[in-house]
This record gives sequence, structure tokens and C-alpha cells, in this order.
Amino acid sequence: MADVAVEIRDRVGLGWRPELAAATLGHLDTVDVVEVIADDWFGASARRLRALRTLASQVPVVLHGVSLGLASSQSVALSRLEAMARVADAARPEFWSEHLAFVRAGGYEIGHLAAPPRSADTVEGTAANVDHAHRVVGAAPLLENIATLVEPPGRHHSEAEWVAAALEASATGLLLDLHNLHANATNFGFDPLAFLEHIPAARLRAIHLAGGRWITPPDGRPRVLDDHLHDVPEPVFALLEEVAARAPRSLTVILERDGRYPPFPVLQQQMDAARRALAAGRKRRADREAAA
Amino acid sequence: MSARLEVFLARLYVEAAAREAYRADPDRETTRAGLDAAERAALAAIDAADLDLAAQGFAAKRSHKRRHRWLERVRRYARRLWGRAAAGTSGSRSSIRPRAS
Repeated sequence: MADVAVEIRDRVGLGWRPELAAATLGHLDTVDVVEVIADDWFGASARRLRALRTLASQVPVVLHGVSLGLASSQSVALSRLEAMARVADAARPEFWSEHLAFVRAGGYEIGHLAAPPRSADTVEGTAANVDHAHRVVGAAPLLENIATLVEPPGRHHSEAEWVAAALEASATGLLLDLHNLHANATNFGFDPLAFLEHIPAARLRAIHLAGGRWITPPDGRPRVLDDHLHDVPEPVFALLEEVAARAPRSLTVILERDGRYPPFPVLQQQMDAARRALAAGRKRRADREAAA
Repeated sequence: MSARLEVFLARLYVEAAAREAYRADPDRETTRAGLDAAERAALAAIDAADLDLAAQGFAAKRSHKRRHRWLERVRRYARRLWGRAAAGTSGSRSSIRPRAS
């Protein structure tokens, strides 16, 4: 059988935020895609969902969940998946995604994305939850690596090993958050390129870019905090180039910003920097293939 | 590692008292939670300073979400008021109620 060349068409877009909505809609010539936080629309009226459908008619939309807690040995409640399905039905996204995190257990609401124990149980639980989500929502989510300030139980497995196992068991793709990777690698002292080596390149489907800041807690050991309130740092763009040099499929790259919004041209500059990093990585990949 | 470990971990993330009790007597707390030897060893490897830092971060997120939900209720109420006024059907203010979230 002849090889079929796959055309690479990477896209760069922005997280949809009410504070940025007007500027985003005014610059759709430079925003290839927007990522909508699905949870903001759980319980939305039919009228609000029509607004979401209108948005999706103007620009490609992808959906992002933040509270399902798929990476758990416990099942995700059907009602939460049905809420996601309702939003997906309105937005008709090109794909949807959720985090490799647990957010609640035994009645305790953690309130944010927590790293689950790195165990066979949580790998199996993730796969079962992804399968359930697939059946209810109609498509399997991409799974996103999270930033964590504490290494969870099971640290004899590296984060990369556990993420790769969860992706394999769930038979789905990775939304690779490069600032989360940068922060974890800095805080726990591992090589982010070694992380990339562990992840099958064919699973790389989407990318998050964000920023953070250094904090110095009482123990005096500085950490990188992933806060989405600052510009994307240079090491994250360097990682994006590395990913583009490896990924065999088109990538959807989303710039996430959750506050301290700069003037829109600053966000456009970061999207442009992402495009340059993608182009540099794709050139390296093409050169490597040509030389092979 | 079992679902019991996730519950124990979630409790450590959420409750300062649970963290203090665990530090004071890890064997008593993990036995009470029904954790096995491997789970106890995995928990013991957690860096105490990192755990506190993560717990503080989660508490800040919960607080932020509470504020956000409250602000969202106010915004919805304002939008409904504005919408009715703009349509000339504002009627009695007492008939407008913020939507329960």
C-alpha cells in the first residue's frame, strides 16, 4: 500500500472568556479556534445555549471540561456527563477535553484539579470513566496533564509513565498543557523532554499554553505556580517547538488566560510566537523526514 | 491502591484538622481509614510542605469559586433587570427574583 501523506494544518486559538469576548470576535482573522469552558454552560438556559451555537457558527469551537474528575477509581456521576453532553450538543465542538485529575472523593469537594494516586486502579478507573463519557457525550475526550504542587502517592511511577498508561488504557489523545509540564518539571526536577519521549507522538492532539509565576513558600523552596495570569514564558514556546517536531498530526494550540488581561495585541503576539514555534518544529520534522 | 486512598487524600487536601491528625499519628489515621500497607507507604512518601502548599492552593480556589458564583448571581439579576427595563416591561421590581443557581 502506498504511503498517504497527511497534511499538517496546525491552528492557534484562544480560550473564550467573557472579558475577551468582544476583542476575540473583532479579531477572528487571527484566532483560528476558540476553546469554551463547558462547565460555564452547565445548567444554561436554552437561550444561552443558542448563543453558544451562534458563536460556534462564527468560529471553530472546542470544549473544555474542568470538573468531571475522570482520573479516579470512582465513577463520574451520570448527571455530570449528561450536562457535558447537553453543552456539546449545542456547541458541536470539533473535540472536547478534560483533565487527568480527580476533584472529589467520598463527599469531599477538593475545589480544583488534584493529581490522583499513580496506580493501576486510577489508570483503570480513568479508562472506565472515559468509556462512559464517550457513550454519553458521543465522543471520547482528549485528556490533559495537570500542574500539581504535590507529588501524589505512587511516585515510584513517573508522571510521564502514568499519563502514557492512562492514554493507552483510554485509547484517546492527549491535550498537552506545556506550562503544566514546565511547572511540574521545574518543581519536581525532571526533564520535560524526557516526559515527551514517554508520550506516543500519535497521541498528541492539542496543546495548552499559559503562564505563571514564581512563589516562595514558607519552606523557602521556590516553585512555579501555574496561575494563567501571566504571559507565556519562553521555555514553554521552546517545548511547543519540540512537540511540533514530533507530532505526526495537526495540533490545535490554545492560549489560556484567566485574568489580569493584557491589551489584545499582547495576546496576539503570544499567538504569533506560538505559530513561529510550530513552524520551526514542523520544519525540523520535515527536514528529518527528508533526510531519512 | 484503592478508592479509599483517594478519599483519604481528598480529606487531607480539604481539612487542615485531618492533616494535623495524620501528622500526629499516621498509623492510627490510616488504619482507621482502612488503608493497606502499600497505601500507607505511598502516603508516607508525600512531602509535608508540598501537601500544605497544595492544600492552600485548593482552599484559595474554593474561595475564589464561591466569590465567582456570588458575582454571577448578581450579574444575572442585573441582566434580568436591564432586559426588562429595556423592553419596557420592567413592572414591579418585587416580581424579579435572582435565579437560584
